[in-house]
Amino acid sequence: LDKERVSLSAELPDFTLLELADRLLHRGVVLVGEATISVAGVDLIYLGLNVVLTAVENLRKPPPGPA
Amino acid sequence: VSPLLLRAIVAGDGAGDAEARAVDEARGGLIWVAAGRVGAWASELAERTEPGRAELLEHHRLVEAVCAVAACLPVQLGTWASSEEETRRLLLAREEALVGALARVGRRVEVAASCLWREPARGVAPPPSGTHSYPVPLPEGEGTRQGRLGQVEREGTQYLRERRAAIEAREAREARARALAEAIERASGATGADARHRLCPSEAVALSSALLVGRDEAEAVVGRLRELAGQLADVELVVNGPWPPYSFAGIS
Repeated sequence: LDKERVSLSAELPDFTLLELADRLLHRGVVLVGEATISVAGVDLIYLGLNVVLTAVENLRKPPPGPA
Repeated sequence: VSPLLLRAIVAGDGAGDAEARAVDEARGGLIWVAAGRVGAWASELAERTEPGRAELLEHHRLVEAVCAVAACLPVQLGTWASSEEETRRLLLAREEALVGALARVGRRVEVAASCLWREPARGVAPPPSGTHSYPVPLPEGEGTRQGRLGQVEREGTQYLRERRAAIEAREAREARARALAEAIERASGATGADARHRLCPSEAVALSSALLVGRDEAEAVVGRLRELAGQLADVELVVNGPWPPYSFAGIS
């Protein structure tokens, strides 16, 4: 239990990023439907997944040990 | 003509001097596109940097700058138009809905409150329905095989017990998440359409809530939620914001 608690607490900034990414990518005003997923050839779904997966990975990463 | 990356929508008369100055200070180069009773702040896409966290945070920063000085609807990141004319057409086609959403949201801001389970879920995830075979363990090193009738019955009973335990555990967590949502509403004062909750959106998260609160109340709301956090033993309550009203900017 303690290990789990420490792990979650240590990574809160990444959880915040995850929450923010979810809002930026999935909420807000939608004006053009599916056309929003790609900008100038850059697939924003890929961008979104990349950001979110990185955040999730960090959320689950154990805290660094003592130096 | 450069394509435009749309940032935020405000009332058409909102592009006053104060607003323009505040947005300019946040970052020059934003373009104002008026369309009837609404308008949009946008960036030229040509100026866009490499995609990644930086772009995401830049969008957030620009939307925050606009929302700090006017009632504002954040635009979903990645929404773009090929020109100012197309931007105007997109806005005018939804003018009534956008005006209504701006009036509904006003100058309010979003506070995010999420509860993370301190302990992992107990019980076993129920196997998918329609599973009819039950692997029976053999002595070490011999792997598993499908059981004969008696073993299948025994394994089947075990399977049903585990499945029931898993379902009960999931229902208990959902009930707890509902209770947490009610506690968060009481602490924040945001209820009804001003509070949006997702119960158990993932294994680690009990609750993800978005609360629409007055800009002047936001600090006090965050304080009350942090007080609540200190009273919760089974979850860690993470409070973020105030942010622009991302979760409340949708139009039908």
